[in-house]
Amino acid sequence: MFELNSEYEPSGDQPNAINALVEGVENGLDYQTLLGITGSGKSFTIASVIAKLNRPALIMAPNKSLAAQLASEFRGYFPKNRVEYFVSYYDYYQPEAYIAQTDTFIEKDSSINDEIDRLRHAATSALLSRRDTIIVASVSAIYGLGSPESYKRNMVFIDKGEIFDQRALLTRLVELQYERNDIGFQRNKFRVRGDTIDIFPAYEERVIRVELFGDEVDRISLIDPLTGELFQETDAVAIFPASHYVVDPVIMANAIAEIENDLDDRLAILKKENKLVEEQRLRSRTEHDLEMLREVGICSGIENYSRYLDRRKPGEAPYTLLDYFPEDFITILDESHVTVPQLRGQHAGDLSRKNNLVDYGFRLPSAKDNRPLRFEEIEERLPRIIFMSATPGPYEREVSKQVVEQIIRPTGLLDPNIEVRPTKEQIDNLMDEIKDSVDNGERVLVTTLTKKMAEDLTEYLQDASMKVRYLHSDIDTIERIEILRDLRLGECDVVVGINLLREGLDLPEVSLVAILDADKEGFLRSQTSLIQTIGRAARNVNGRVIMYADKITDSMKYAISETNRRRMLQIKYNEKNGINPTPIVKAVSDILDMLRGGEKRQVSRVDISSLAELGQDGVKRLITSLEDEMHEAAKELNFEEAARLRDEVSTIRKELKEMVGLF
Amino acid sequence: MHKVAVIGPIGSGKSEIVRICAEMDFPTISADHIAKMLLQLPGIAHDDVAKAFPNTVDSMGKIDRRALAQDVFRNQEHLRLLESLIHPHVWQIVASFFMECEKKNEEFCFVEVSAPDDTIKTRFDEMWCVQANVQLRKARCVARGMTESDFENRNLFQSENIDFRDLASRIIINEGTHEQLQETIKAYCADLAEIRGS
Repeated sequence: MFELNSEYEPSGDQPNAINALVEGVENGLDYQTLLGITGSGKSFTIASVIAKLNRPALIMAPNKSLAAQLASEFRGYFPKNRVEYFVSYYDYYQPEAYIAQTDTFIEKDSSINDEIDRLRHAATSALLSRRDTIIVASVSAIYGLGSPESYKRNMVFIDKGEIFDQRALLTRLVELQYERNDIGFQRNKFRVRGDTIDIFPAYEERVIRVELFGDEVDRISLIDPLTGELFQETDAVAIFPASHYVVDPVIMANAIAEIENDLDDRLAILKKENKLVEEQRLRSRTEHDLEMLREVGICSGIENYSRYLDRRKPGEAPYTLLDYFPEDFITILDESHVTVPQLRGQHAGDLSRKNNLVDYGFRLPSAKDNRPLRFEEIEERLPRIIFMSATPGPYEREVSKQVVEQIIRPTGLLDPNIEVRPTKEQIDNLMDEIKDSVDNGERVLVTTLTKKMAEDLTEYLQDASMKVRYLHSDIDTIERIEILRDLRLGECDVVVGINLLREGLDLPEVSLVAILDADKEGFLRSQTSLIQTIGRAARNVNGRVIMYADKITDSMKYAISETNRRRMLQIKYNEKNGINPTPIVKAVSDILDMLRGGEKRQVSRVDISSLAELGQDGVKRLITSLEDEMHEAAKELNFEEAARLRDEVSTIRKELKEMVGLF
Repeated sequence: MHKVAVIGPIGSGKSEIVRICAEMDFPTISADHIAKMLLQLPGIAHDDVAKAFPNTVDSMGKIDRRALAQDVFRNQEHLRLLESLIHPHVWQIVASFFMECEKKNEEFCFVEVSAPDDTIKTRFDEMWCVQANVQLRKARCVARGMTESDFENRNLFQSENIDFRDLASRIIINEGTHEQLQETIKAYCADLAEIRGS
């Protein structure tokens, strides 16, 4: 089953945390909290808990990039088990929506969803086929999905090295409504030549070639349907019908009848309300969909008919990823203080979009039953939750039966020393301190309360010929990465800003964090924010914090005493175990890698005006190469980049259309 | 990302609050400002409004905003029509502002909304409603160059439309000095920090 692969043994307060959480789950505690500070190895703790409990797990993260980060971390912990990534394109891509009055209907854009779709299928198929599965998901996990039963009937997953009887595989393909045709090879067909089976799925541009050696899957590759050219080899492939919603003919016939009924009712209402445009629109769209459902078995936006296809009653909760888990699974909500409010908000947001679609005749009212779960429904469906956060929110604190603390860093690194100094002559004092740190080869973060103050301070420090940069909300993402890279590399020594918590700042070179106006009321001067700001200096052995303040507020008092408490515990632990604090210095190249993505951006940005020089074929080649880049980016889970490339391609396509007129 | 709408009647000090937030380095945007820009710049929104209110279009084909305001703040139905033409465009731009902020990992943002519609609840996580007594609000508007009767008209229409306080998660009484308001906003932002991510 689960096999944890790590060179580390649990240390510090990790063993206690692991045992407490495992016992908690075994004793039937539905809600527990792991209060863990940065650097205490929370994910290792969770990995150990999963391995000990030996149960399937769902890990939910507040956004895609965090989910991707966690997924790759857990893949490292469990190389022999399945760790899958389940997010939706809804997070970044425009979902179906209608903007009234401008009369714009935004279709779902699915041009780069293939890779996400494949990953989603890999996740669901893993859950249905084996117990040692961890799914790292975004809120997408609470959105509608086909029912697990019909899904199980309708897909096949092929792993390299797997034993697969050829006959069984072919039968399975036929069940999936693929047709064997060794001569006319087209979409939705497969062909067999000796031990080689080529499958051309409806949703793929490429053909999947499965080569068997005896009964073993020897090689899986993607090839060009026309030339037979090899695109790439893969280790596993999921073959599924063109959609999560393929249904058996009897259910489909019933569904179509019901849809027709509901359509008539709705049209009558619209007519009565004298909404003739809407009536006309709904009629033509729905009839088109019905036609597709009758003839092809699917239609675009079929999930909006999920209520009929799943045979659910109006208002009943949809099937979601959660239904694919075996009963005894556990859930971990990472950064729960963000994730919980997010889960709460999904239903209302979705409903307002659906209302628009229904009111203006784009969808039947039943589309509202294709929805994310309500919070109560989530609570019902998620047993055994472990909230994970450094600063758990009120909900988690209230429902948790057990809060497990983890505030020892295995690295021995201490929370910084905190000093409070008067604000009189604070700038001169600060400059002296900066000089000391910089002479030591270390870096400094300064946080102010307002933009004006940050600007003035930056200017002042620059005039004193210090290498300083100012970080604020108007600076775009790439430039921010550059500034932080420069700070790590020593191109600049000081970064001044207001919200230095915004970035997932991991800067081991920073030894001094200066907090100006620490005693003034304001954003980031509250107790948890102060603790987190102080934590920015906890990566460096010489870490220290100076708060400039004329009085000690309650928030300061709490933050200082909490930091000191943690510091003392760590010192005691270090002494007992003979640990010398050693920072984990991540190479600057980590950031550079991130940046390289940025540079690629610059290079690939195409100057529209020079397109004409490329000629029509040149432009087509350009589009192909950009599309390849786009798929590559999507594969690397870099969806922002993929979306950007997608936009670029569509701009160029538009240009191309106009050019065609010219040639 | 936690999205905060700042709402309140005319002259209550919405933009002042949004400015204070911007000074604390929060991303901010004004829906009112977007609407004004939409009316000034060529585009679908401009054309739709021009078609619906031909009397407010000048000889250059441009919408005269003053004339438009005169018209809609005298006629409830016209106001509703104008809003139904403009709001979808405004929300679309606000949505792209949200996306931009999310890309930058912002955890909070503030939007000034002068004319909330019934969709506002689903668009924001929190609403701050600014209040001030009518004399004070009138004085502020007059100081901004509005005539007294203009103020009366607008005020009447807005308060009839929606009771702002029903929507609010926080009510801010803005009848003191700028410094006092600043202190209040800073304190509320400090509370916000309690729900921020690590």
